[in-house]
Amino acid sequence: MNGWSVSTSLEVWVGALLTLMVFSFLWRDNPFYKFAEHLFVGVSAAYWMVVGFWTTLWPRVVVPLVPGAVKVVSPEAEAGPFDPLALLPALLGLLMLCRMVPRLSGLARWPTAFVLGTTAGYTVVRYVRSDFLNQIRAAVGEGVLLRTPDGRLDTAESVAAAATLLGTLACLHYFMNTRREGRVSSPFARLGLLVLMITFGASFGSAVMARISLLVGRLQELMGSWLGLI
Amino acid sequence: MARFQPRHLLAAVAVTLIVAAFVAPPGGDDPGGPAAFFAFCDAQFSSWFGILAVFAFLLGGVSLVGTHLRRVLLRERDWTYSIVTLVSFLGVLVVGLAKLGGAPGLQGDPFAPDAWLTKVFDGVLSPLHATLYSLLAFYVASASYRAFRARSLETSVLLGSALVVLVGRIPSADRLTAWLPADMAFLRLEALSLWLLKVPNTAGQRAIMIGVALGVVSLAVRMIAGVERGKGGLE
Amino acid sequence: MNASSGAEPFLERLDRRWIFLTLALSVIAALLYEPVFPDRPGELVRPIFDRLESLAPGTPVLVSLDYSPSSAPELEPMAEALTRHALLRGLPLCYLSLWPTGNNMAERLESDLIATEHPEAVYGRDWVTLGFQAGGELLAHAMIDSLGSRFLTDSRGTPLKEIPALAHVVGLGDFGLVVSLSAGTPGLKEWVLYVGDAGGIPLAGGCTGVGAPQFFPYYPRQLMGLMAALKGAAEYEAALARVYPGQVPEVMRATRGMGPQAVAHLVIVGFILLGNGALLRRRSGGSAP
Repeated sequence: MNGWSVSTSLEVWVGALLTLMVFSFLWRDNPFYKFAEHLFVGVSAAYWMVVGFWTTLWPRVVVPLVPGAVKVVSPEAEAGPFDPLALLPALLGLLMLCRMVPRLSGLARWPTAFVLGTTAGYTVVRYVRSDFLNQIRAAVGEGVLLRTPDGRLDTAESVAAAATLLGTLACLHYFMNTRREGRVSSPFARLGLLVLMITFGASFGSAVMARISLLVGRLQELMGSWLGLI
Repeated sequence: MARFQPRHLLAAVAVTLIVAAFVAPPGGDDPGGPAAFFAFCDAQFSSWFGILAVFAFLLGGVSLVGTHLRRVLLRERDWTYSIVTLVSFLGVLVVGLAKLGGAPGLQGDPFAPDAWLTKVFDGVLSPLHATLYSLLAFYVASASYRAFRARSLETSVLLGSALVVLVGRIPSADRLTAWLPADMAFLRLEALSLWLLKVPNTAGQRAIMIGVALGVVSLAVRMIAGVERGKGGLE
Repeated sequence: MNASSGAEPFLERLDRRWIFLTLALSVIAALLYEPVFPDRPGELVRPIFDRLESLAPGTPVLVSLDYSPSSAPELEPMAEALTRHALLRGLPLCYLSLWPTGNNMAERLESDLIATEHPEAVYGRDWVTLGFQAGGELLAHAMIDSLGSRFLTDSRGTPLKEIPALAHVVGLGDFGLVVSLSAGTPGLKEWVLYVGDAGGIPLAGGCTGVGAPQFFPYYPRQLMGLMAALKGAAEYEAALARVYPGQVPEVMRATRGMGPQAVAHLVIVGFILLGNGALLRRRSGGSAP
């Protein structure tokens, strides 16, 4: 532990005070917290718009449509050719903004259709390949009798592979079958439920770990950068 | 002849991209013939998607301004805080679009260390973002105490699994179970937590993934066929 | 009346602010006391380390900083560890991001790590920042064949063909390794679906604790390695410290954070056991839960 060495940076002080305002919510809701919350909403919304404009809209819409505009940010750059293809996304984008005008809001269905179509088209193939076929391949592809590099049976890995396959089938059985009566079906579905409970427990444990890391990180900033205690 | 409607556009775009995934997959040779058209569509549609994402940011921003402006003008509840939102929104917008603080004019990098946008990020956005999420640690602790109870076999299994992962993933976990003999080393906390994640957790997650993949395909097919209504469709 | 029945109502009535205070004080105490628990590289982290060790100097490595300040405490130590490793091995780094906050995350690495620990590193030769572009997973997908299809310049406005670090890079397959440090969507899952499986490109990942369990099914076929949560970062730092003693700080950020992390975990486990202990006592006492 170091001695006190409070920061003299305005940024650090502003950050620390805003942090304390947010932490005050742990006591109860109060004007300081509300101020910080509303500040966050305004700043983050504007930040996303600015980032989106300079990183994407400017180079891929504005400059292709108005080639001379590139000299505004780079006087030494050469203006490229006019790209008529950039008109299409620009038009779709403007149609999207029509949602704000009640009389024209129906036009926003066109860019929405494009976005949904793109999403559907890309996700179908990728999810089938990665989350369906490749997962089945990973579960059964090498079988459950796994061998060490020198050809001997690897008991531990084989048991693990068999247990994973059995657990996967049990969970799928639990999801897919609504009828769970029967001497085999019902215990198998129960096994699936227990495997899912282990899954959710592991997820909870990991999630707690993540949240604690965020708290530790925040307190490290306060005690280190602001107060100089660590 | 039926009018061309948005749902036809949705279907055309989706089918084009599905075909493109097979006839012009990424990483392959430059396709010739009809496949070149699908490769072109694949490249262009992904680019337009990104551009439309930014227009969605714009839409969100304008909607935000409209909502808070209305609150201020109509003196609705907490309207004074809406002024904070509006002033901060407009301030950051000007700072970022005008690239204040960096090189003169619009020539600088808005994310350079001396740019005002970076100072806003480091001094305001970053600490607020981090702190708001770190509040969850406290609520997770409180919820764990109040609600995480072993009332049945299933909840006991869930609780046991969570405890093994919580304790097993800290570096000193091995010290707690170092007394276990070598032939029971697999029961030591660190090994047990890793086994839990690699075997039963993988089994459950894999089953969830397979189920979700089937659901995604089902939803996509319904959207392409134009039978999806509500939030997932165009209505 | 049971003599201990006064304890159960108290435990049931316990104001949650006492729990908040206990947690906060325990973490603060751990931060002040600075316990350091040495770690060792685990089964899922070692392949990433070994991969970077096996790459010839000059082979570029792509790191996608798909996180925001809210997840930086977990993921930034991973980015720092990868940056240290790549610079020590002479592997040019290329940062980009699928998240709008990525530009500032990269700038933090440059100012907080590269400028202080590796002042000899030269931008453009040893590292380059492409920054953020909208499009999410479709941005990553488009870059399989060509980085230049989306990034005409780096974040400083230099055309890609003038950047030495990317001299032999056309598409993502030309990188020695692609690593996504991901806090959500778009992130590691999208890199697996749209890049790793689609383009057959070797992919490794780092993720927060929240997302970690869902990536285990991808290991090892679709993800060659995984750094899960702060522990994953600490394991990578442990590998670095073993192989490069004296060339990296003795105690790095994730390792330092694991001490308070461990204390907080034990506090939460204590609260869970306390709550369940109260339940068991009530049940054994015969009263209704």
